Amino acid sequence: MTIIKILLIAAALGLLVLLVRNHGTNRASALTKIWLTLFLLFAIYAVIRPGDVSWVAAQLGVGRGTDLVLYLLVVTFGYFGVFTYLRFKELQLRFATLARAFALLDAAVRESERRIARMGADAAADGGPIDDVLDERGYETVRPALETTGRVVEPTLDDVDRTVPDPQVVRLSA
Amino acid sequence: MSANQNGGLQVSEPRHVPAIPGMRLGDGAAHHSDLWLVVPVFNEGPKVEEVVSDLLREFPNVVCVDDGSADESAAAIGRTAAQLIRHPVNLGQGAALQTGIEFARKQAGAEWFVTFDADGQHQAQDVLRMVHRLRTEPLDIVLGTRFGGSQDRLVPWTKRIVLRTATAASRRSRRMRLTDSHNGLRAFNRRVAHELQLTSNGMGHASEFVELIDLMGWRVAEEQVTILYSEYSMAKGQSLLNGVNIVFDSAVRGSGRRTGARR
Repeated sequence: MTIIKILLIAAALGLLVLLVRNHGTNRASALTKIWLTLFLLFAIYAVIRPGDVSWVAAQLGVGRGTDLVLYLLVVTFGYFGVFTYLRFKELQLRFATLARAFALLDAAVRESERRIARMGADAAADGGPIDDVLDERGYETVRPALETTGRVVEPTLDDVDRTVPDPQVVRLSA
Repeated sequence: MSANQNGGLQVSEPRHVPAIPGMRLGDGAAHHSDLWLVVPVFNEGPKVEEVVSDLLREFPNVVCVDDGSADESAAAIGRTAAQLIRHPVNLGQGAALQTGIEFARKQAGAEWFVTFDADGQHQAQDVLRMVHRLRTEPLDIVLGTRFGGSQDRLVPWTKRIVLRTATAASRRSRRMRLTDSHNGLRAFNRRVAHELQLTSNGMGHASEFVELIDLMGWRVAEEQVTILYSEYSMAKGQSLLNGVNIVFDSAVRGSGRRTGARR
């Protein structure tokens, strides 16, 4: 066995190990894994017995085994490109949705700050004390819970929002 | 065509506008409290304050969506009485429109919605006419068009080719007899505002708008509008390459819809 064969097989086995170790749970990734495993096994087989690939190429009407591998590579690369493009679009959409939620929240916060500042100005115009309601930046002063109840409340697991949907299920409808 | 005749603006001859109550300029804010204007803004610092101030003279409700501008756009809007929403990062004009409309449709009493460009190419007078049509005719959405009238020859020829191609390349536009799918001036009602879900962030949103009109069955009409091509807005206009983007994005989106990827 030549050195290049050993290197190629080692690389393929390394990829297999990476693939198996990164386990997901949903069906799409399971299918991807089966395909990739088959592909890597084929790669190892092709490295060991290149003559067989040439035989398959001849059956398909392609000159040499290397040509067949090249064609397959081109097609795979094409699929990869399209898949990545679509995946990227989907991510972009989610990113936009997230940024939009932030922007709307930010606008609401600034609006309420303005309203509070206006309230404070009105109160000042009336001659009433405003220091107990607003701090110097115009924020409403909220007394921390510790001061009023006298004990620290630790968040429990029940406080965690577990309604986050499975990202694979959301699709483009988000 | 001499561009500098009117201080850099090319203005068409005044068109005859029928006198309809409630649509005269200068009627003031009281008549339009149920109308929200959505103005997407991206690096329009030199122009936006003037455009928004002009709008606010006619319409009380203007929401500007600053799409992550790097210049002083946000500060300029802040000096006006318009509502300001700021995207933390640049997302594209389509995303900015969606944000503004989502904000506007949540406001109490909002019945009519208008999208309006921030670079000063659109006219308040056209908004009044379009909204008047919405109020009086059985329509869900009125699109502005710069073609079909005396304005035709005022559209720069490169722009005309891009816009005509983008419109003609879409089977829907042809079937729906729309002449100018990439006009930023649109007026629509609550139904459209609530059903609208623009997913393409960039300039592809204009074609997407047309697709949605078809898919959702919104009743649509076109209204001829005047576009002022200042040198400023021409420099920012759509390039030929952008036209390729628009057509390509539209094709990708189309296949996504067919497979039901989008609800």
